[in-house]
Amino acid sequence: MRRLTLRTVALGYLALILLGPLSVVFWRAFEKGFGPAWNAVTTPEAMHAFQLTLVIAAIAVPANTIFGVLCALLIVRHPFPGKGLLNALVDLPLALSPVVVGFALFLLYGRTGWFGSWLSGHGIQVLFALPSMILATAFVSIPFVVREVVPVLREIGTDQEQAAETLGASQWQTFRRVTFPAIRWEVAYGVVLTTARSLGGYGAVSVVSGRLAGQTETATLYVSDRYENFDIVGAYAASVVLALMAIVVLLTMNLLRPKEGVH
Amino acid sequence: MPRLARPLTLLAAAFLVALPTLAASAAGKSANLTLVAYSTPKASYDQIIPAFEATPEGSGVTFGTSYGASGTQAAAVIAGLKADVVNLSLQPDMTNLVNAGIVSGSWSSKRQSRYHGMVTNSIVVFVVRSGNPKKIRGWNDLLKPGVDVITPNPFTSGGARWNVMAAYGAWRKAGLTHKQAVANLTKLFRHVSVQDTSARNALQTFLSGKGDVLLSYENEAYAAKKLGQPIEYHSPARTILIENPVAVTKTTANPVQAAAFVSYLFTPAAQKLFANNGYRPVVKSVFKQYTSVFPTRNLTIFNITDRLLGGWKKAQPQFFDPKTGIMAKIEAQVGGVTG
Amino acid sequence: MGIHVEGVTKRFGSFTALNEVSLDVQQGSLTALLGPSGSGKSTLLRVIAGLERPDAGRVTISGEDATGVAPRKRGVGFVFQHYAAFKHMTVRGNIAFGLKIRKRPRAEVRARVDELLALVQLQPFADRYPSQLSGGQRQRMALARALAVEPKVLLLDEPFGALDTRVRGELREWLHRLHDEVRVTTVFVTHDQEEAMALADQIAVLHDGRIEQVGSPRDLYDQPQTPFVMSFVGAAAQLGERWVRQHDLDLRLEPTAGALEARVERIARLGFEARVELQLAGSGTVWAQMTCAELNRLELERGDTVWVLADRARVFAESS
Ligand SMILES: Nc1ncnc2c1ncn2[C@@H]1O[C@H](COP(=O)(O)OP(=O)(O)O)[C@@H](O)[C@H]1O
Ligand SMILES: [Mg+2]
Repeated sequence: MRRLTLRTVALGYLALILLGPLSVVFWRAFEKGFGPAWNAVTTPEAMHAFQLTLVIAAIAVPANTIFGVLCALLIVRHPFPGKGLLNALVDLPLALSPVVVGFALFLLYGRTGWFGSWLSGHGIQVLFALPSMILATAFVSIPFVVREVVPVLREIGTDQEQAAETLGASQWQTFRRVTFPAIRWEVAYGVVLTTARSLGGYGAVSVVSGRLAGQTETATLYVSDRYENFDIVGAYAASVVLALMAIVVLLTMNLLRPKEGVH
Repeated sequence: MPRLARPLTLLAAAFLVALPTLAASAAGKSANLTLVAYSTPKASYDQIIPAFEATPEGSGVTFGTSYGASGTQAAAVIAGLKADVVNLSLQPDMTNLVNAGIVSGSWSSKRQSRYHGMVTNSIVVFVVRSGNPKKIRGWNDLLKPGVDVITPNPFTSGGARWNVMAAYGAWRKAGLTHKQAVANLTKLFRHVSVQDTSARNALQTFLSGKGDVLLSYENEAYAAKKLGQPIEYHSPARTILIENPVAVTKTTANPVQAAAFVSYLFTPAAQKLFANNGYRPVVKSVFKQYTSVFPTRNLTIFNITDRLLGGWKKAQPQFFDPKTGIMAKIEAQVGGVTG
Repeated sequence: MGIHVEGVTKRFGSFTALNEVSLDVQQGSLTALLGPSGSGKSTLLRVIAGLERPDAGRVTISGEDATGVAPRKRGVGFVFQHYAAFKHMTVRGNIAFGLKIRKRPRAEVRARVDELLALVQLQPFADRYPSQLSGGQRQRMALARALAVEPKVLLLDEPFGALDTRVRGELREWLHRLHDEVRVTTVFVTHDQEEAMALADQIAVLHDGRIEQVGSPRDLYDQPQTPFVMSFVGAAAQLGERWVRQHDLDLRLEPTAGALEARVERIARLGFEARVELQLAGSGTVWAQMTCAELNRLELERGDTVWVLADRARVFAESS
């Protein structure tokens, strides 16, 4: 009886918070039929936005995965002064408003910013171009891999790594053959979260992109642009594509994941 | 783990090195113009740009566009957003670009001197729900108990500054002292429930059902009404004339094409397209064709340069200095954002 | 040859875990590091393996200075207290690890792993994962893994610590036989004096980061040089300045010259053996050890008064 109530509450909550908005998105997208929705997401601007989003994710996600694992190793395996600071710093993007992140990049890469003047002197455009969008995306999605990997690194301890060492493995061999296999599911889950965040990021990217239509507009910026310009079908159809991307990522993850309970 | 750190660090470094390279390849060579504008004229430009491209001056010119809150856009251009033509919602944002060395100090006198660089006009209006259920017609109606007002944040949105100056000016014109008008302004902002970053976002908020009245550009209200939204709009008896500046940047790589585009904006053809999207044309001959759409009779439309307001040069620091301005103090009292 | 540890000091912050420890381990011997928990046994073993870097001192393995050498280049096999099995590899994968790292030909790896599986009697479990093994099987797998690379020395940290008594006894026997067969220089850590006595040729007793005494099991038992060794290796009782093995306490029912008066506080019968807790007339309590047969002969009961004779007691020059 109690379990039934619990289930009702849990599922009800999910339906309210998750399924409700999601189904509205799908419904609004296809309200006027499949054709208009299809046309809306196949305009050159829309295609460019999706492509740009994928390009950004394709760079930010691997970069964050490598940095994330490196950071986690540093935090767990190497006591060093300032470790607590690093640990706190990693969480900063979760606490900081993405808009603030965007403006921080302004200060660094702006025309008169610390690096900005040098970079623009060398003909390199960071702000309002792909690099700043990648940086902003990477910034806001950096915690996920670290936060997934740190606890499991702590949990597995150093015994296996030390055993590998005494058996002749170099640091890299130890990582590749022992540490990584032990953390790979957490890394994978971190990658999924990072990807989801990269695909869906808005605030920081909106600040540093300059929102040049068809040039620096990511999928989420495109959605908001469509919405702001009363193109409801366009906005919701693009949202559906974004949602589908996220679902594909999650499904891939679930397919790859080993069945529960095997060693 | 120094030996483990090395390969990973190298990979990481490779990414950092790769970024600028990607940047270089991303910045294409195409000789196109970038128009950076405030949030509302997108619909107009979507028609004007193809029209310009069809003219001899515009043939071969392609466009990139960026629309957003006026203050934010100006900040982006100052930070390095490439722009050939800027169209902002009010003069102080343009002045910021002048101070940053991006726009020539003579922008308002050199080109189209007859119009002082102002490409469109509008007025501040009240957008209300169909049938005006709360009977909101004058500025004092906004201060009535239970009236929920929507206006964007004056520290990011140009439209919001026009709203503030319209309210203040109207009350001064009605005979209130500076002190009384500021007191009313404070009261007004206590009625504001949402302060979006841009005029367009504020309109979205209002259309989503929030608020009883939206302070807005006439052209925004016009566009929303034309889209069949269940709203109507009225001009209060006293309101301000909104003037939106346009300029070619000094930093443009295509000064000839950019100047040609700006010139085109003042042609009757372009002005008509603006008018069709709710803007009051600055070109008198065109405006005359639209008097039924843009009422002037029985309205006192005052200018920012009015003696009581003193022009943007005086009003901008007096009201919108982020630290000492009247609005900064009011926002502090009502808990709004001034950043 | 063998292992040579000289003046090794290891600190963790302000805590000194090893204090100028020196130790010689003969080639091919089986040496036990014995001491209570926290005495520094594991730390010493890890210093030998290179898993801890000493603050002072030197470690020589097979005549080569190993002090600054990385663990992977020392030629040591290390068996961790909790096995440190590679969880995502099968038994075969675990044992083959060191050989694969050394890029040995596949066929050779296979043959060697099969050989080791036979040695540790794990052939039927070759394709299982560590989580599907019992503790004893895991321990044998860890041993085979360490032996696969033919280490110059084999280091085992509490190899039987986590096993139940019966398995522990079996494995102990097995390790003994294995050592006779393989003859690799072996050092193992234990806190169990019986285990050390049963297995080792040589025992080093550690106490608070120092080596108290090194010697054969018999030496340590018969010639303890400190009260600590005396009481840790075999039970001992203290009578004032004098120390005596519990089984060397002689209980008399009549007053006897040179005997201390005591009262029987408690009697514990442990099968063959029995223990009697005595409250000494002066002060303090001691346990006396005897056979149950002897206890029966004395007909002792709680509250009885007895006289305790300690003829074979020792007095240590300077108790630490
Ligand atoms: N990595 C470490 N950091 C701090 N203290 C340690 C560390 N390793 C061991 N110690 C301390 O050193 C002492 C000896 O430890 P250890 O050698 O593991 O003892 P044992 O004889 O039980 O194996 C203990 O007090 C332990 O707390
Ligand atoms: Mg230990």
